[in-house]
Amino acid sequence: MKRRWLASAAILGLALAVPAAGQPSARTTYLDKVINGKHMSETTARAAAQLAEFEQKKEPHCLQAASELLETIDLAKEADAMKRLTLRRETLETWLALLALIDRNLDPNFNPQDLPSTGVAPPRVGDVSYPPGVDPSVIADPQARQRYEEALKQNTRKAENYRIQTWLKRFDESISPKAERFVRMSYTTVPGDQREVAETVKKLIKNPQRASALTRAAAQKQ
Amino acid sequence: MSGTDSNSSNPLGGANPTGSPGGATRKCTKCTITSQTAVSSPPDRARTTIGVGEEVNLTCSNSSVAWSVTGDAVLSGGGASATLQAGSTAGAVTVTATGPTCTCSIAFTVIAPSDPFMEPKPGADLKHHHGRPDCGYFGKFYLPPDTVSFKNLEVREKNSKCVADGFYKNFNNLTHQPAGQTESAWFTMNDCVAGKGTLANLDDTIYSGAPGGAGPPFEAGTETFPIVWEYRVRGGAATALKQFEHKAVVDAAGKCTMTKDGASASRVPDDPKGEPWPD
Repeated sequence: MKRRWLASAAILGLALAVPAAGQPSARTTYLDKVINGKHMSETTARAAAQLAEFEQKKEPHCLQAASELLETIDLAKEADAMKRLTLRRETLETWLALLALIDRNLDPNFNPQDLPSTGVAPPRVGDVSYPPGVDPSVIADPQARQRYEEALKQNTRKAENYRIQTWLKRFDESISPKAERFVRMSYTTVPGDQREVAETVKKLIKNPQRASALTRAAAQKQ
Repeated sequence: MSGTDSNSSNPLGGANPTGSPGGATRKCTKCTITSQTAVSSPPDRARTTIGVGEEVNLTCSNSSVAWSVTGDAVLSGGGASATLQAGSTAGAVTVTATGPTCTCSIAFTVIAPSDPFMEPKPGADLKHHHGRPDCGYFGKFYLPPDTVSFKNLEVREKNSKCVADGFYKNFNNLTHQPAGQTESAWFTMNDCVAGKGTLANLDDTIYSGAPGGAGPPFEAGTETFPIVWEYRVRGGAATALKQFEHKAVVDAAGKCTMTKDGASASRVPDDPKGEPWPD
């Protein structure tokens, strides 16, 4: 009974607290399930693996690779009707997981005008100023050296964050229409199709504008 | 730009290039590929000369086609439209759309960046301490030519070691980045600027530094860092760009001239302090 409840809850996309003996509770979300769970389709499994790699390394090009894999899926080529429905659902879930990761990592306060620098000029000590980027060990004054080390770390963090945010913004602009196109082209207006899209959007998409765009795409037909 | 229809260029001739031998002759439907670069700068979006890593949106007049590509590039999408992204190597790329009755293709020439250059950041003050023989500025980094976009590239600067003499002799063998570091972080690229090239999303901190010592007169000296930048496409392998120099020269009067790949600026000790540079 308990096992059945857990399975149902996972399907409903609830965040679960699964205590393991001697371990702290682990939270499993529907997004985690899509990214790390089993897939019938090898292609969606590979795309999900790219999403998992993004989560681990924060390497934005993993999202691009996942998108390109999903674009290769041709539902019409799956002759078995039941497998085709499963493939469609898995593809939808993986597209939406990709969009959810973009939303989760995009910083709404990111300012593209605040450019990162290649290096940091060390603080001047007396009448000695070193060129930018030198090794901190050359700075004799410990306080100045500490300030410089901290500035170097901040500069690296800023450069890395700028890079990630720039790619996320670009991928959001290029990938979102592709995901919406998949929804529009793969789901009919029959209630069962509309329900599958609506429920999957509800489980995975927290951004209301994005959720609205996806459900609109499902209702629009060319 | 529109690609060619194999109906007119098929070396086998005839009106049915994909028809089966001995089968019923099917009239070949005309097929055309239209291309548009993903970015709007440079403004000619129908061009077929593109930069490494650049994206082009393709549309085929026949909606039922299979897309294929030869050359270093990635092709995604399906149906009537596809997206081409050039790889990291220069050369020829050909995209082909194959339909039930016709095949059409479009050819691209992919070019790599030529020699990078820098210029002082417009509107930014020069770095200088009043009374000292030092100078510097923020540099903007460009990848020419301006006929294509390199917006999808990433660039970074390799670490290097200073060769210095005279006034700067204490800086000899200093590194351009912390000693354990081999290169900077990766930086993204921005839009293509007419007459220049694709601009990098970074401010390069360029500064001579100044070892202690009173003057004038100062001992004349030179400080040189050999600089190598690299680029990559889609997180792939790094490719080195042409090496250039970060060079500071000071004369006996304390006039400091700082040059980095085409960008140059000078200050004399009596010049006012550069703001808003911190000490």
